[in-house]
Amino acid sequence: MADKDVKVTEAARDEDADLVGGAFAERAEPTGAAPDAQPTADDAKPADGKPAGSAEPAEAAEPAEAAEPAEGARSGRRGWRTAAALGAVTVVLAGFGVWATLHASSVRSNAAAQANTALTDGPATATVRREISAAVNTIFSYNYANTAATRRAAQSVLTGPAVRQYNTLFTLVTKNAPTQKLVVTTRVTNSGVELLSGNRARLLVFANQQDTRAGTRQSSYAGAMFAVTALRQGGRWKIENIDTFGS
Amino acid sequence: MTTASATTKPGTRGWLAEPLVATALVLAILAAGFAAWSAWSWFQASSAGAPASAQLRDQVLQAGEQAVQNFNTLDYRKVAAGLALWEHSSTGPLHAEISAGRSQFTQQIEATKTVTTARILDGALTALNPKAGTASIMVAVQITVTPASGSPATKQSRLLGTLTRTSSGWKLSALGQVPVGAAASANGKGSGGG
Repeated sequence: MADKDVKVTEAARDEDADLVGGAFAERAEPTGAAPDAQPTADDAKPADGKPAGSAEPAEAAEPAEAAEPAEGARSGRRGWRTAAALGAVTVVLAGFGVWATLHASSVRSNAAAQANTALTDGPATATVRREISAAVNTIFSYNYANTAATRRAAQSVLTGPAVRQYNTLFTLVTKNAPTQKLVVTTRVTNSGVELLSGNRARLLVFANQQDTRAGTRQSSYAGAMFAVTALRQGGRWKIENIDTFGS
Repeated sequence: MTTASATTKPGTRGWLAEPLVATALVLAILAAGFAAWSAWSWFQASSAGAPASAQLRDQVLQAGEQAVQNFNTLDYRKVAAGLALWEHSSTGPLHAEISAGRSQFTQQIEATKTVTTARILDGALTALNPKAGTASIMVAVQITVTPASGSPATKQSRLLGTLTRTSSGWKLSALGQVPVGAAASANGKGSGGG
């Protein structure tokens, strides 16, 4: 009678232990489940009416021990209730931990993506300065004899709205340069990166332009200042927009 | 296997729950630690501003643009105050230049009766050395000069400056226009002011 009682309690306890153990296992603690799972299997054997060859069932039937199971059942019940409560607390805390960790990392990656690394990231700043200066020199330098070469070269360093801006401007060049026999050389004298954020940048550019009329061999000079919005596409910085400050 | 069956001896059932409770407690403590760490990490992530180097860059650029603006602002009716601001915005050689030429500037401005105002169009630092306390700045500025009679004239100007850290903030130690054309290869330093 007492023996049966114990089995029922134990079955319930083991079930609960498995439940809690299952929750623990999720937290990458496989050892929590294993020791408890094994006793279940061991206990089940004698209960299934295994012949009295083993010492365990005999011990269980000893009258001296008969009182203990009932007491054990009570303290055991208290034990697994505590364990279950702790398990629930663990699940809540670990759940919060996972959520907060994910949240923190998304906050960090957002901040990193939006951060302005102009000057603070020396190599990246130097790269965008070099590539955009070269691009400006390319698109604003042309020879009346071969404006098509400049136009072609420009297409690879322009993107977005700048393509149309440039084509509109260059149509005039193509028309006027041959009659004026113009050779224009543009050199960026100063450039500074105001904003560098991932694949996006804004630079302030000062450039000097030398216009030479092939016929007269006379040169005139002009200074220009403008801001360039740049985008990095396929590992290369391209001009997306040119802001001439309303002039 | 033997240890496992030892704990399951019927006589030991009273404390069978104890390793379970102990394990649960340990795991709960670990989970609490993890939760505390992740909460701290989250707090750090959301309260962290821009890195100090980025903050310094923005602060120096701002100081530089303000100084350039000050240097391109002068009202003939308030020359003393204007020049005091120039002196306040400068240090080193530029400061010395202004102090030395102060009376001459005053006479010139009061004779031409002009009011000069400036608007910063854009600016960028081209170098920043926090250790040495120096920085280089380029500024695109629009300057409007209004004579006593007649209409105001507006021009755009390309300025390069050197900033030096002082005990009272970053100040201009050199300021000049970028020369155009053939003179571009010559030095880019000129006297400040408009």
